[in-house]
Amino acid sequence: MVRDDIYIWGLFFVTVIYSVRYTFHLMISSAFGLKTPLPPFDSTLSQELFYLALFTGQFIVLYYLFKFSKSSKKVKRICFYLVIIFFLFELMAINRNFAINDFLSKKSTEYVCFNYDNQNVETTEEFRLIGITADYIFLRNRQTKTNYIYRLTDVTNFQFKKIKSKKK
Amino acid sequence: MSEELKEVKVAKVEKKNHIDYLKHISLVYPLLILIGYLNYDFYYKFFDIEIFKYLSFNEFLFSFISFIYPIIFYFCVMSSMFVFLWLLDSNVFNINYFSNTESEFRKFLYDPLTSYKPIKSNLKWYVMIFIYGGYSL
Repeated sequence: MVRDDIYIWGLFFVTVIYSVRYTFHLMISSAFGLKTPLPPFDSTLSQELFYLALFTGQFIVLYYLFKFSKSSKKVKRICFYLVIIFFLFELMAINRNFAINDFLSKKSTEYVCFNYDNQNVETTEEFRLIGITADYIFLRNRQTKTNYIYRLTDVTNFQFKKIKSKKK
Repeated sequence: MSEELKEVKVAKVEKKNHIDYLKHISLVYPLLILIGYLNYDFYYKFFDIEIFKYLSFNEFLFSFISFIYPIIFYFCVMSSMFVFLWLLDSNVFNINYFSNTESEFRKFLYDPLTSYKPIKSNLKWYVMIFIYGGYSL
């Protein structure tokens, strides 16, 4: 006898297993500096939905783990804090994933122009901005795969602009 | 006498347990630095840059706040909603929507899995609100 519930349970287990697997893939690849595959969607809306499903799947797993565990309250409390730290790491990995995929996309989303040592430095589609910290600017040539690091104190006439991509 | 002493000792131990949590606050600082460092390192490692040389401790500390504040806002909204439900339940407005007994919602707050049956039966609505709130961010 085939129950109708089996499809729902199948979907449930696929969601849970896929979310756990994808999360570990995400975290391991970000720890070793590898490229993480994006969810197989194009628009940002479906990506957000994907991450929502990811978190929901993990939430369900944790809910049932906490519900059926017979460990003491102290152990549960420690596990709760560990879960919060795990979620922080996961958020960082997702954040990094979005940033890297922005960098690797066809059109750049940021424009930077400044003078350094009497030379004008300007970002293009191939010469892109990686990031800015309090003291340094990081640029990268995508063709030669070389990084250029400039100290902000030596930079003059700094211009920064955010370009809205049409795809989003 | 000895029993009284034991009781006093037990009371002292219980008080100590509450104060003991303060010890763990000092762990937050290195933890925040570690998380901040990893937040940068996850990204810059992809470009073969050792970011540790180029950053100060202040940047490590506050780097991840930019993507955490929506979550804080989300939990503030959710907790305020729970407080509102609690107020509805605790006869403040002289209306009791959820149960006949006053303390059931409070029981739910402390032990959500076993105690509060009316909310447990309506759990799907709460999950829906939770997901909708998260998505709307």
